[in-house]
Amino acid sequence: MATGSHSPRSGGPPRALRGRVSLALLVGLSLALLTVGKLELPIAATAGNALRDAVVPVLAVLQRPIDQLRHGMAELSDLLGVRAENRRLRDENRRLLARDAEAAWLAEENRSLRRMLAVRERAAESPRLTARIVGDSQGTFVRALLLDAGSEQGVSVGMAALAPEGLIGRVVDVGRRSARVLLVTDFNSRIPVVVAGAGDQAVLEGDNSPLPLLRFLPLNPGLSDGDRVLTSGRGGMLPPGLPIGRIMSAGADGKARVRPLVDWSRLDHVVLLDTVPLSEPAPGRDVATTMVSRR
Amino acid sequence: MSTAAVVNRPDRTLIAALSLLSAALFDLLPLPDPSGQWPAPSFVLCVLFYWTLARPVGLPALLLLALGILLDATSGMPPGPTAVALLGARAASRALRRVLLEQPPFVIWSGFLLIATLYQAIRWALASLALGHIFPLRLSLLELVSSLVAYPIVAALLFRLCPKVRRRASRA
Repeated sequence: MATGSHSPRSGGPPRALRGRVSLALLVGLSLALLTVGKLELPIAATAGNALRDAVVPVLAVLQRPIDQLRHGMAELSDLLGVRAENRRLRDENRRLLARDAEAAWLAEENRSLRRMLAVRERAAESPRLTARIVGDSQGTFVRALLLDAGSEQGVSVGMAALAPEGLIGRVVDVGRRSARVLLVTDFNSRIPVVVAGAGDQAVLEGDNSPLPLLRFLPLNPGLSDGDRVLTSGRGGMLPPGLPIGRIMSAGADGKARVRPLVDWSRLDHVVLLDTVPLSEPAPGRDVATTMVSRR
Repeated sequence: MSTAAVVNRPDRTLIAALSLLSAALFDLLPLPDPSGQWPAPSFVLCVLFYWTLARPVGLPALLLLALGILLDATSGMPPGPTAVALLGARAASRALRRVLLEQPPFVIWSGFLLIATLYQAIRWALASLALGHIFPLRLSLLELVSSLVAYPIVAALLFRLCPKVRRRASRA
């Protein structure tokens, strides 16, 4: 340990006083900014986006070695578990082949029923684009990702962000070259979902833990452990049917929680899916209207 | 964990400022976390504590304010909590400096524990106030533990990166 060769008090009391005054001023300025930030003025959002735009190119460069490290770790892990993985994939392949045949039959039946009921067709394919994750605030207060694509690349607020396994969040801020995705685990995230199998509608609510909660379930929910949770598409914010996770056994708090399907440790790119607004129903072809008029 | 090497030359200010900036960028990077549950350590706090002990006059408060705002804005928080927490941590570290100088590493690390706790407490209180939600303390505690684990590594790295500081430290 070294001793000081230069006294911190070399400037004398006036310097210390100046330091205290400047500290008080800066703390006051920070608190003023916090208050202004709470007002959610458009200028604050613009400034935030400009800051993110400025920092994203630097993060993109720094991210490369970390990506390589992550890929290296993933490859090592794959190598160590290759036999077990092979066995698991064979089993899964058998199951999927059976499901594939069933899905083809169901799709045909679905098309036929839609034609009979005159239900309007869904949009064939929503526009998609891929963005790289360059920043991460998987911290204490906010669960979000920073992407290296913004309005210049066609990103817009409200787009669904998907990992290969399913939905991970929604775009909430867009700059020119950057965008911020609010994850399903963030305490501000609320997503209308449906539990496959049971058919129970609910809202998936983040609480900053890795396992978001299912809220507003029906009185006697028919869900069970391992059931898949999908977006319900209610509200039109997100397309229906996007997988999110699986039901976990009720936690110590007695609430149903969902384990997201995504492997966060391997996530380095996301696919952004544009939300296609539902078109107005064609006059005279609405099923509900038809049923009411028949009574 | 030798944080007591005192060097007050202008070129060291640049080193301190650059290392602080790098730490802020590291705070923003998505670091690999197989568990997906542990918050990343606050590298900025580690660097701030190290340099406040080693160079008490050299860390400009304005830079801390700017970094705090950058960290908050980039993560999507209202700007302010991290800036106030960093300024508070700097003031507290400077107050503790005379006690911690010439102390063994464990004592310095204990000092860091105090500062990191204060930093987390300020951030938690202001973030809860700003976002209108009482956040669970568990995540703040996990981040505190991450930072405590990271500090000796960051301090050793900074000590090695600055040979002149090391020479001076070994002479003393």
